[in-house]
Amino acid sequence: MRNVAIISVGYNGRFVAKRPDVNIPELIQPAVANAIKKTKLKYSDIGVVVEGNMPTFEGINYPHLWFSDHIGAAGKPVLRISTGGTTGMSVFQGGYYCVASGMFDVAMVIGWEKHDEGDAQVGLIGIVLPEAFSMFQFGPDMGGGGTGMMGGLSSTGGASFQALSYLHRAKGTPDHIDKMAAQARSNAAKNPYAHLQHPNCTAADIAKTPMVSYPLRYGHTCPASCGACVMLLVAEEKVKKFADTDRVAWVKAVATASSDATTGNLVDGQINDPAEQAICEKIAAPKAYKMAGIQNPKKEIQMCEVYDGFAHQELMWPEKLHLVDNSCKAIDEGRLAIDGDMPVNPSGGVVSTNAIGASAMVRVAEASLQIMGMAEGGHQVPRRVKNALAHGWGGLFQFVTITILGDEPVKR
Amino acid sequence: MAEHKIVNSFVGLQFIYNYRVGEYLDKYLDGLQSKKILGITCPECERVLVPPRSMCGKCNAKTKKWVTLKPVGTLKNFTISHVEIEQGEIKDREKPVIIGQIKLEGADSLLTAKIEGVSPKEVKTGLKVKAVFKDTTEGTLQDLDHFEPVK
Repeated sequence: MRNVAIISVGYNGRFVAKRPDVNIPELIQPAVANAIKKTKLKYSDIGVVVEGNMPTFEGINYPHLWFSDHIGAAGKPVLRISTGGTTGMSVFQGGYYCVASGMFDVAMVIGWEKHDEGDAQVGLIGIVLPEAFSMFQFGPDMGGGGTGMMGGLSSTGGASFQALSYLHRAKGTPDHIDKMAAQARSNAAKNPYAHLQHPNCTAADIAKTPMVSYPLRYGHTCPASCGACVMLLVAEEKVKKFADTDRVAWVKAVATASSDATTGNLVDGQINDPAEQAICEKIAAPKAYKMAGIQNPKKEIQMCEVYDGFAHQELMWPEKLHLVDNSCKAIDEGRLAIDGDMPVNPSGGVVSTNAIGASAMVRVAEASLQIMGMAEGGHQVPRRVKNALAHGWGGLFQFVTITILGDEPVKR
Repeated sequence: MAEHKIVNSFVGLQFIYNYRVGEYLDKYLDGLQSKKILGITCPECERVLVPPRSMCGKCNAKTKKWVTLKPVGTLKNFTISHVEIEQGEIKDREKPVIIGQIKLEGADSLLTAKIEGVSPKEVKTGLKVKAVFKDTTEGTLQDLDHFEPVK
């Protein structure tokens, strides 16, 4: 297996709610151009293109049929990977496999979403159906009446169970979620690409927003964004040839774990408690740390980007990833801030920007920019980032992806 | 034996997708409204693409120079459609419809459109055709109604 480096990250521009001026290929193409521009690569050097977004959100299941010519893929292999919320990181890991295996020297990975074309909640219903069938064994009906697919036919409804269970486990209060959301939106204001930017947002600002599904408020939930993220992955022996910088981000580990809609807890403990997340804590995270050669994550990892569609998850995931013992305590002490000892989502995270098919990839992209020292607009972590962790979740909380990046390759 | 149960799920939502055509097709549709067919040129291979698009896949170059094409060309390929789909059901057409692929003079791509003024028995490739626009145009693809033989 070969070592692989991320040599460049490209966004199409700032993530926004609507892009009526462009079609889907035109939204993605500038991100491709921006990623290539920062390297010595030519389009002809790219061996394989891996792309993904949420199926059904735009009502297009094979969008690459529309945009292959726009992304430098004409005549090349194009692989499409679509795994729900984890799509962006599954796409990234697909590109990683292509290069690590020795099949290709250069892979381009693309995660994108254009939410203004369709209706995300309508799209979610199509995606949630397999989950809903699986959920039969736990009781909820699917028709919208009665239990109404876990509280209001929405992902917020489902996440509210997780949020309350998490607060109970962490001995936290809804105020902690307010605090976390406020930090995320303030961080987003320092990231020129983030969607919901709220400079100096306070917990009180968040607490004023309407309740959606207790304990989750409007201010705890992510927006629906349009945008694309592209990364270029290169085999170790070709990094000098193609990278335009000395500081590249090395992929030290990838890990993925899945379950059915038992919300991640089939492996341990109480089935159907979405805050338990044993597949992350007990399977994926230990696997990733072993592959990366990391013994003490709290010390050896300097920052993380976690997938926080809802603000309580930005508290929960660092615990499940063994980076923080108790996030409610940690945020009270300011330890999760950009200048804290375990910065969580300096980018503002998913709760500030959610172009879903891009979101899990943006976690990797942001982690790599932190290692390269290239995070723009004031969201660069002040101390040197030697190792960074990126995380994605999807499905009904039962898919988890982890990528660990470092400033030097692992000796394999 | 117990009856095998099924789930009937009806979600009463409307699926409405608003596909933006993008700035290149916006301009193409504006062209159709004024009864003009617009194409765009790749700066590297100089091929002219109709309808216009932002990228040339062959050269990975941004297309640049807009051109107005003459509304005449050659029929390069066709099919004769005998059926149509209405609300998911296939039914016979009242009479067969010719759908052709036309290479406009000066273009390097084929444009697909209805062919009228020639019978399905007589249609053949190589036929010289011209564009016929609707009398009243609205800036939609339907403004370019069909092509017919050049007399």
